[in-house]
Amino acid sequence: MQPALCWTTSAVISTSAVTSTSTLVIGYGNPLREDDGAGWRAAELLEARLSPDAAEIIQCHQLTPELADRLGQAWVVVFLDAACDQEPGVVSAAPVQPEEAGAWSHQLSPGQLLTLTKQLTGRAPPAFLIRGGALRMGLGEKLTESGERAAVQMAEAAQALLTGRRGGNPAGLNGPTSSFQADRMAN
Amino acid sequence: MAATASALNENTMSQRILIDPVTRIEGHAKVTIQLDDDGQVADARLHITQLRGFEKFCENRPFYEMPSLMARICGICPVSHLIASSKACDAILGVNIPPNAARLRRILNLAQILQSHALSVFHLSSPDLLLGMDSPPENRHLFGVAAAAPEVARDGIRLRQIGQQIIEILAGKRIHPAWVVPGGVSNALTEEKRDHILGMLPDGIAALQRSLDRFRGLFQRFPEEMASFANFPSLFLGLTDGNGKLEYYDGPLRIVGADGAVVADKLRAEDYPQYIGEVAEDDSYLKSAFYRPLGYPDGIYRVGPLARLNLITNCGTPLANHELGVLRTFAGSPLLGSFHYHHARLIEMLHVIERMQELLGHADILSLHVRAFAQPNCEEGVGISEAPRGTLLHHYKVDRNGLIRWANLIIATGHNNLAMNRGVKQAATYFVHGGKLSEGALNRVEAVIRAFDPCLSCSTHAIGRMPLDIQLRDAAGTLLDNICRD
Repeated sequence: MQPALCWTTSAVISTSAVTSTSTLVIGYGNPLREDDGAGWRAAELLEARLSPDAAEIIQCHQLTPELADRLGQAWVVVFLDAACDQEPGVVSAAPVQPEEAGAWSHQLSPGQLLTLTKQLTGRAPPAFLIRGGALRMGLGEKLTESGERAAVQMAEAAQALLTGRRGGNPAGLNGPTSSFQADRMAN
Repeated sequence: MAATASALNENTMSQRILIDPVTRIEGHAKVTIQLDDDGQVADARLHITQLRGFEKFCENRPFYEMPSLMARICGICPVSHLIASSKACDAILGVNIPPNAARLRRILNLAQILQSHALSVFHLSSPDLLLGMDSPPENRHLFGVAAAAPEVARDGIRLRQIGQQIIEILAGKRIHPAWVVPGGVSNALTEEKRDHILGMLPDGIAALQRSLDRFRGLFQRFPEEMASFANFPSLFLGLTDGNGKLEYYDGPLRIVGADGAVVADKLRAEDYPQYIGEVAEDDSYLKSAFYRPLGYPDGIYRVGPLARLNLITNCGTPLANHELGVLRTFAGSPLLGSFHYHHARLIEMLHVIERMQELLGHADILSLHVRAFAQPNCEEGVGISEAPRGTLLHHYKVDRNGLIRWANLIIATGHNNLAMNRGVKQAATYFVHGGKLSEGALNRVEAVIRAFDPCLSCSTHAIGRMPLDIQLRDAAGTLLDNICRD
């Protein structure tokens, strides 16, 4: 199956490049579980595409409360994750909204992490979640072919998001003022 | 995660309450509370409902794989297993590891204790302490704490972060690192990494001093919990440095009684079968350890932060020692109530940071000699260390090719199993009345378990989330009330 880039949002990104180190990218998942490592792989690919000080890039297994501190200092955050609930190889992107708290703090959703960040630091940066559909999440350190293609597209999408280029499906990166842009303007 | 309660037999005087799962602990468990014909608590049992079996599936693996395999037992305290396992492998090699390797392992273990204690105190138990045992369950979590007291949540998160970052700096990654190996550690510490770690520690001390100032007052709001949370005489077991100070990496074991008198001292880890027995119960996958000379179940003992503070004359570092004095002035010595585990954890966190500062300041801390190499020279090895929750023991036997033939692990939560069961009964007797389990009573029965900070994934060697279940049964065993969380 050919991967497809499917923007599920119409967030507008500023056309000027984001070069501040306060840009934070978090690729997460389990790299020992085949395509669950797509977020890690996309983070690696993105790092190679960006200039060295363009962003802080983190790879981790889960989103944990300790990340709130870094989010609180970030101007914008991009989460990269594998997805079980979309077609293998399909990449989607959406802005992240703060979510209601859960009882578990071992692992948080991007929205819960934003909520915690807001509680602890007084602000939550604009954030986006880019997800790549997984074919398999069995034992193994290597992505499937479609998982690898998804990771490449996730990196491309993240780069487009951060630099303002309209790669992939252009429709998704056009639209009315996003919270990200509003935040940048406010800063 | 909200509790649900249902009365299964409201018109029966003798009942059973089921709490399933127990929440905010590490692993899966349930509690059964048995009532008598008068509706009073007759018995209570903590059942660990997960099974893993690491001791079996490691058989026939090369001994040198054991540290990495055993670290997979737990995502919270993998370092503890890594260290105990590597020490057992050191014994199989028959080597004394380089002194600086021991120093570096100590620092890693201390960082592990810091991050694990921060998780226990701030993430799991502070909702009860800050918001109250009877506060709405939907608020009793870290987000609730962050909303009510963001400075407390910030400090807790920062403390855990410091511990995890130190593990990552030393060992390459914070979960399941492979830096500790049979014979020492795989890489020496660099000056840059040392300075990086040292730079974080003052932040940790400041966070702990703020936290202690806050929690000292909070603890005093819980007189009933202090009186009823596993507050009874027992033995206490743990490592000491041989001079009455806190020790986490090596040294002789000491056992003290409820009066503070030393019952046994300078016990060697490799002799543990002589003084520690284990019993498998029908209703739990967690074995119960007991002090063999007193038999089962009279040989009940506790391990972990409370026990470690009961074993020593002083902490060995000034700030922690001062706080220990405050606690002893307030609560006496030895500390018999398990509610004090929380305060003990805060004191230990202070101590481990002070101790890391000492170790990182050692003249030889950057020494490159950090590993001894050998082939297997012994057919058996025992490794021991203090994990966050208490004494951890790994015991392996190998064949002439170094393949594992037999393994036994005694985990902190197993040492504490008898005490946790007695504590659940004590708390249930105090808080459960009339055959019904109120939300506040449910939370207190859970909270007594949380005070021990059990790690059920470690102690039963299970996959998955950790939940709990409390059952109320009548004298005939009929299930009357069942509170589950899912």
